[in-house]
Amino acid sequence: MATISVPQPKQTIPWTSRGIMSWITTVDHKKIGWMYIAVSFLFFIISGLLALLIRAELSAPGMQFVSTGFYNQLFTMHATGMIFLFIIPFFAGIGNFIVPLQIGAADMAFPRINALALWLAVFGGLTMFGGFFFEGGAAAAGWTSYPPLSNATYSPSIGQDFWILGLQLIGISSILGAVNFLVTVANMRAPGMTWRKIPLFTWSVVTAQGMVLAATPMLTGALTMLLTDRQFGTRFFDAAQGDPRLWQHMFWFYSHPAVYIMILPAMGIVSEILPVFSRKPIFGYFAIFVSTVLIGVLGFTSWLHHMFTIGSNPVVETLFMATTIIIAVPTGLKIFNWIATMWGGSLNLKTPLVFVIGFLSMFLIGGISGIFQAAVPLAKQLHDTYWVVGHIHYVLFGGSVFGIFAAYYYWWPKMTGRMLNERIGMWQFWTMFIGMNITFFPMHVLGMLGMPRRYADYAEEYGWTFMNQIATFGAFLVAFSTLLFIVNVIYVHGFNKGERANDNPWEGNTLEWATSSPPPEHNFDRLPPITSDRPLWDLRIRKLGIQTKDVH
Amino acid sequence: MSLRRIVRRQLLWLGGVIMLVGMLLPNAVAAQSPSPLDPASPNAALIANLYWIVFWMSVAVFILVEGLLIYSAIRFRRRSDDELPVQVHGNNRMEIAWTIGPALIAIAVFVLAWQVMLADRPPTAAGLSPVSVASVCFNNDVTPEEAAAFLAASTLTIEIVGQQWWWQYNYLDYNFTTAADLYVPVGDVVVLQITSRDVAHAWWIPQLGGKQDLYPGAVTFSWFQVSRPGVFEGNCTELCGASHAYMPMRVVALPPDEFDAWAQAQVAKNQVNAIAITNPSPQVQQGEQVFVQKGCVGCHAVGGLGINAQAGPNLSNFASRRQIAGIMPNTEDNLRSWIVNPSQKPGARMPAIPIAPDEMDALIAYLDTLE
Repeated sequence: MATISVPQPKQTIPWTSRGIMSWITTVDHKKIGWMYIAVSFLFFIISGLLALLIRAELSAPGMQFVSTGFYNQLFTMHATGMIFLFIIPFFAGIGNFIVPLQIGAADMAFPRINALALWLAVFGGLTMFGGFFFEGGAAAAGWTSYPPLSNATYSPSIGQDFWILGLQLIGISSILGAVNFLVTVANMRAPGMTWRKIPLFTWSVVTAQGMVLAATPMLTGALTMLLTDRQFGTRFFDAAQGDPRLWQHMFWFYSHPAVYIMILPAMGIVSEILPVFSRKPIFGYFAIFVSTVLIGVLGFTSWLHHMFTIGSNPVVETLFMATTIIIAVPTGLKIFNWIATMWGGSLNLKTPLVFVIGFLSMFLIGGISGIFQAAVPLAKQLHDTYWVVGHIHYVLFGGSVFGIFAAYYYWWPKMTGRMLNERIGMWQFWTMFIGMNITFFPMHVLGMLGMPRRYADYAEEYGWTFMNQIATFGAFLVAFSTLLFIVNVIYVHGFNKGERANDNPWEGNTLEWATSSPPPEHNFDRLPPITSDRPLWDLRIRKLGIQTKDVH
Repeated sequence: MSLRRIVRRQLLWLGGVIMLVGMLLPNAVAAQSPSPLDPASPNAALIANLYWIVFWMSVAVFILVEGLLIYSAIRFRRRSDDELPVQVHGNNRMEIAWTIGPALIAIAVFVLAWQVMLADRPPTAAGLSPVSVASVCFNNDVTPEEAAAFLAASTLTIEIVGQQWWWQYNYLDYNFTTAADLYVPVGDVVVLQITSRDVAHAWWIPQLGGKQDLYPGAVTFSWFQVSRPGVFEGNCTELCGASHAYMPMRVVALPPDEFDAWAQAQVAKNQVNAIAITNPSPQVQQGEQVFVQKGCVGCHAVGGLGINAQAGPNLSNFASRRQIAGIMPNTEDNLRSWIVNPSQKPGARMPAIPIAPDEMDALIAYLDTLE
């Protein structure tokens, strides 16, 4: 009797296909997610190298390696690259990969818009950094690009126009991506996944993308005005007929929410990893969710605290001081809830959790130093000094970047089917943790010793040299730790040393762990019932017949 | 590596950093850093005081939270693979408690900072309400009477004009102009009326209060009341181009009688027909001619000479200044090197002018007499 051979459906794993065209033309959310992550990592390296040049230049008084003009390009492109081409696209990438999986969808709602958003961001980044190859170099007016310095008179180089055009492309990309994320989560959730059962990472992405949608048009609008000021003779930010301070309002109306756009997804990652590695539910799902959304809303009400020295009416300053300080409340709530999640748990101290603990301990410092700057009188001393540089790096490096590496280690097995090496990962964590503290903590001290930011040079008699040398040493330690991450990836994939990952190596409880590692093109063959925000926990525990003691 | 060792190392390290900072901070302050924590004016003292209050509150919060975090990381680490902790989903009462806790701290910081904002005004403006002081300071909805009362309350009003990359000071009460080093009397309320000629800059003498941005086409205000004689350094704090780091400002606070003498001397020098130097030597006379013939006077005023020239700093008291062009100490060698090659300050507009050695000697001798 002839057996009828039923052809097994070939499980296609997107990134096993090596053809370059399959990547360029893809509309698959996982492939697009990967490309976002890869591009963002590339810009992380480039912007990081710029930072090393900055730190090398500051290691001694006088100009050693670069000119002051080029130095201004360095810090301008370092900040722009890290913010717009590393942190924001990384979260767009990891969101692209994980969010459809977490809600049990087959793809994003608008796959082709998804691809368009990716490529706009890539070309936006290339446009911006392309300035380095033209006469006059890249933009040099700071990532804040305040007019009049950024206008055609004081920044005549074409790099400034490239910066504007590149940022506009990235802005349009962000807006398209935001719509896509919001529609996806609103419409494509698995049956039974009510709003209260959405994983907290997805909640954080939804909130952050909602902020992107509300804030980014203001930035792209301001950029258009700056461009027409430079190229077509309009006078929006002109001192005589317009007002340079108008730019600052428009810029910070976007860029303050942008801080939360960069930190909320990292907070989501924390809320995702802590329960899994503690074997406990998140402490107060509702409180975490509410505080996320509240931070998102309050983030829009406090932009003027970046401008406390422009000479605003003190009544206005007082109001903005209140709206800024109040953000400490939902943030503090989150931190306590996270610690309460760890409390009494069974902590599996693997790399993802270790990076999350790094996030908690470092973001705390960034949050505390933020309180100083929120107070108007203190802001008048601290504003635009190295203190602020220290603060923002504790928030964005200690917060966002530690969150990003936690995400790398946590979801790497899901995304590639291989585990990253734990030992190298631990080395990376400790060198990065120590390195960032050596780099950024002295900056607070430098600020209190009166060193302004964006200084290419400083006089020896001010006593700033030693602290700068410590910071420079730390920066190279951070660079070494980043190198360890690259070594880890090469070790695991290049040398084929990586342990194969099963479908759920961390005992994850959300839907992305209910499919293969890496997931097939269509993501799921079938979905488990969505019984709570931890469907796989319910499934596992129920299957094994284990009784749990639950306290609500 | 065992966790205990990791944590112990982390604690040791944290302690090390705190000790290091504790040791270095006072030393560094002693090393003539322009620190806001070493105030010399009542407004700066208020802020320094607020800083230390918030600082100690922060230390308490930091130790509490970081302690809880490290404790849980050690205490609750997984000891066996089949552990199943109690499934605590939350606790409303506790969550409300640790919402109210941070809220109270936030309110405390707000109130403390607000108190400082209300108190941060010149003592001479005590008769005015805080709101009207604020209105005058920030050019908002101010009646002419209020503005007049506020300005009348100042003992000395100085207009500060920032530009790429130097500071010009117009002594409005005396009608003369100087640059780079701002001379003020100790104990008097000095009101600064600040504006810019090109891009945004920021005026910041950390020991004399918070910073204030300046914009072209707008006037902003600041004030201080120096409490002790001395030199107070500051640096431009808003990115303003290639030489942003070379735009220092300096306040020289003199006892009132010395200041009066200094001011009278400047007034005398700046009369239209005034002679800047009495009894010049022949070389100095030649130097003055070089200064005029080479066109220096087209940009730099010296006393009555080129009195309307404003493109470059007024040099009437050049020899008393501590720095040349904000980039190097005011020594004879540096001055020669600067005149020959002004492009060592990036973006500087001063041209290099060919000059013969004897002319240079004369020019230096002339500039050296401008006390």
